[in-house]
Amino acid sequence: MSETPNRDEERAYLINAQKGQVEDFGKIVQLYQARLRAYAARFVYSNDDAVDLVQDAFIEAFQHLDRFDVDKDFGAWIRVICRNRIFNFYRSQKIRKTVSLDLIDEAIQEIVEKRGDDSDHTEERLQALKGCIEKLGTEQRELVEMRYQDQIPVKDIAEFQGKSATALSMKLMRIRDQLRVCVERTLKG
Amino acid sequence: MKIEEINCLIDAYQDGDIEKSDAIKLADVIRSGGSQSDWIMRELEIRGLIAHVFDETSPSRFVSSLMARFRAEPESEKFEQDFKNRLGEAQRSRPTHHHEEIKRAINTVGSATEADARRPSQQRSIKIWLWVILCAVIAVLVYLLSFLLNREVARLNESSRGLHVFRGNSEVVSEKNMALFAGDRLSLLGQGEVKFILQNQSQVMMLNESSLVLELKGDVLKRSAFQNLTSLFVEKGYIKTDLNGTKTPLVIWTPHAVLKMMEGQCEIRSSELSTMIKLIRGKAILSTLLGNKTRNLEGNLTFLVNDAGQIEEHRLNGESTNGK
Repeated sequence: MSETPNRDEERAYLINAQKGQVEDFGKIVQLYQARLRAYAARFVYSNDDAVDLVQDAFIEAFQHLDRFDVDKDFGAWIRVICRNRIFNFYRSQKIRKTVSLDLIDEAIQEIVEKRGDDSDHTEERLQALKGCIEKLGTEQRELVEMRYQDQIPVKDIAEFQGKSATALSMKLMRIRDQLRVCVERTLKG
Repeated sequence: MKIEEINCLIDAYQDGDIEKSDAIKLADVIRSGGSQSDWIMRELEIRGLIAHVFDETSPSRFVSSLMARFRAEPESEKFEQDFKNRLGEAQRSRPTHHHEEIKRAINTVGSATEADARRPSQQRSIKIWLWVILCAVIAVLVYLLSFLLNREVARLNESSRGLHVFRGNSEVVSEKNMALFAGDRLSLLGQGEVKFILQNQSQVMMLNESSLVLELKGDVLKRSAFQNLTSLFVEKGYIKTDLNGTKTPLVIWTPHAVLKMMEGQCEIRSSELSTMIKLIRGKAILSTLLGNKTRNLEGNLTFLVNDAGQIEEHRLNGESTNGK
């Protein structure tokens, strides 16, 4: 995960990056990438898409870094850039997806635009979630891995496990509920 | 709509497998902005976060690939800008019509002189081209001859309406009991079942949306262990095999793994991301293409090989037996 940002150090990196020092901007990327990737993951299902979006956001930030006031919160600024990228991503999806998927993408985009939630707890949430996944029983963990690591369609997992897709879908929902409760409990300490 | 139904629809949406009528229903619930809409957004969030936990892109790899893009993208922008500048300059200094005619005349003379100077090299290049064309003709002849001499490797036992058989660059009409040859590509579009029997008497059933190639000899099958064995390359989809008293083993390979079966029954489901192998009975040897890991398999287990070359093992009731 990312290191804890030291404000003065971060400011120095940003000033150097404004002068065109790519390596110093790399250090800023190191500080913020995990939080931003977790932020993007909330809205974009595919990991690859999330990574691409975050990379695009960093590139855009670097290109307009001269406009950024180094005394302000870089995290909030990059998050706004990333959020705009997410909206653009939803728009660009129209090109390659089916009509059915478009309908849902558009609805999600509308809701995401309405939501003013820019909370910055995502890195902590991610850490908590990691711990909670590790606490799952073997069968549950393997199921989560099949679905979210290997990204196997629910129908396929169900067929191989000799279950109905609905039953498997419900099982996964219960695991996610369990994880959500565990994460909240961990965050509350 | 019930939460359970919404949950199934989100799964279908994320798997890209949702009906239009269901998509409209789900989109309406999302737009409603009510408690169900909130629930959906929370669901999408937790699903995204779980997927992110498994994201194997390490922070250092992320930073290094981003740095590579940084270095590449300003350069491409600079190149584009330089090009535009040069284009602008060229347009500004464009000669008058009269000058252009003189220039064209000079160019014509220059070209003729250059052509004289180039002639021996052009002749050399013509010779090279002749050789290239000759080689291409020979390659095409060899290719056609290989089709004429091709051996039958299987026979279609049961066909389905959605079956397409491709031989070489063209499609052949499929019919029951037709002979299938090495290199034939069978593609089953939509729902259905197709059954064929290989020369070693193995029975293979292709199910919905599957695609495979008979006896495709890729690099991976040039290993001595696989040479001269009946083989299938499952590009995608779902197949079932039954080897009952077959004389020679059957090799099934997918984009992620190679399975060498001696006897028994198995089911294979292959997608872009992974291959699932369900060994119902019998024995087989599983090798991953990435990392070249090998496992001896025995019946009543399900194995999953992902695109990172990891093998996971599960009992048929869903209970896991070990990790990677």
